[in-house]
Amino acid sequence: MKGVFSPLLHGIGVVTLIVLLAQSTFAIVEYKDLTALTTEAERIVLGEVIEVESSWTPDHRTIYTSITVAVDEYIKNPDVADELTFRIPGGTVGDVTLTVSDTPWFGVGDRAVLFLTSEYAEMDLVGWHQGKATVDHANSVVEYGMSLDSFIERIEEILAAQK
Amino acid sequence: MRTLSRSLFVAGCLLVAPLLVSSALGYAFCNMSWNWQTYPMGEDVLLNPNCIDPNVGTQNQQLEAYLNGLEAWNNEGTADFIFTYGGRTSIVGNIHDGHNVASFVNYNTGSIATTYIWGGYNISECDVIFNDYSYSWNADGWPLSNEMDVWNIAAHEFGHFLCLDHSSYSAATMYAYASYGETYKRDLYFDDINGIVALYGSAGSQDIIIQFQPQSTTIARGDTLKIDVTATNNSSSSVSCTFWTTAFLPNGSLYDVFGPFNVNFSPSQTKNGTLKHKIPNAAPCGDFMYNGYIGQYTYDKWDMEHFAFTVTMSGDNTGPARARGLTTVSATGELFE
Repeated sequence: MKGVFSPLLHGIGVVTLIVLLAQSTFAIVEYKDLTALTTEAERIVLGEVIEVESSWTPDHRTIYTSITVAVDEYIKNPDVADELTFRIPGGTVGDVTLTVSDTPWFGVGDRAVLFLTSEYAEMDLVGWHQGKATVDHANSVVEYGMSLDSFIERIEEILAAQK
Repeated sequence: MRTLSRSLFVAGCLLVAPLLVSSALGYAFCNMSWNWQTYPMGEDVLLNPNCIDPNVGTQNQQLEAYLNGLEAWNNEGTADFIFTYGGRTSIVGNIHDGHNVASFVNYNTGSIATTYIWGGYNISECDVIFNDYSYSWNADGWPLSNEMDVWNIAAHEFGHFLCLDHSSYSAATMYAYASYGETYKRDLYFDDINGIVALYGSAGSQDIIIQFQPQSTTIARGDTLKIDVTATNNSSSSVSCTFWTTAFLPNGSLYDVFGPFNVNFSPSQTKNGTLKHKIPNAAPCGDFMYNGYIGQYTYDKWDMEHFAFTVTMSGDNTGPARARGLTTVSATGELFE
């Protein structure tokens, strides 16, 4: 499942059931500042969520949710794909809901800067909920209290300093 | 040590609070619930002491660290719920199997620990996994600066079992972040207490706390396990209840040890007593877990206390284990009159 966010789901054309995840951000992680998030992310993208789909694992032991975003901009490690998919643990299938601590909310239409990794067994976001930086309608990054442009510039500065 | 560590932490927080805390909203809920109208949680919690770090401590120390995390919430005593320990398990991970399980996993979860809550509005199961791949853990109570403290993290995760979300107070047990060597989350902050009281209501007349002080935790076959017991009625009402104890054998099986014994308390009364249990010459050697409960026998448990002890081979007895375990020699003191 690692690397699912790579251009795996190009051309998804079937509209699937949109599941708004009843997920909270609770449990415990190490705090990661923007430098750590930027450094640890294999890919950073700005995008809009176009599909959220939860499913059981083949062995029916647990539930994951796949989130597909339309990519507006690759900020780190560019790719040609205009969509990518990543997964987070938890979700709702039928009448069963699995809520997992430290996972962020994703709903269709959400815009966010995403810090993606394939290093974790169950989660493709660096630092769990910290790997989603929400972009609001005013083009501000909610978690950081700055404009989207400034936020991206800051990430690019960090990347440039690491070269 | 605990008070000092919290004091040092709080002092640190005062210096950096403006940077860390963006608001003072305090506790939050996860918008799901157990059926706490009858019996909060409703199910035992199973614990798997399967951390493989060389310096984590013994399996009994791992169990104790888990249980201390559970009891951080039980011992608060002002909220109307209780965690109960269901014994050791070999289950690993976040499997949807109808059991509430805490275990270590040997893969990189990306988190320090994670709680999985199954169900819709009503919770049917909770599991917590500790990341044994990325972190070194300590369960002997004295974590080094490169170790995560099992007790500290367990207290936080079991707060999620109770449907608490993260607190915005950086000194709270339910604060979202943790670090190496940290222990302050072992003790609840006022905001954590406010959260569980808001969720479960006040215990009222059920506000009885029991505490054990074993006189030794290494006992040879044929010797006597001696336990000083203190029970306190923190309510302003007279209370009649029952006290009983159980033990888990080294193989994980559970059996009754003492009680149920009826106890009557005046308002705000504390009673003390001593329990003595003979360890049979043919008792199994190994790690036991002794558990005490107060409430209405057997399902309405108001408080739980525990400690681990080890039974060793005596010098004059090297025979095989045949008997199951402890027999009560005496129960003395005001508590048992």
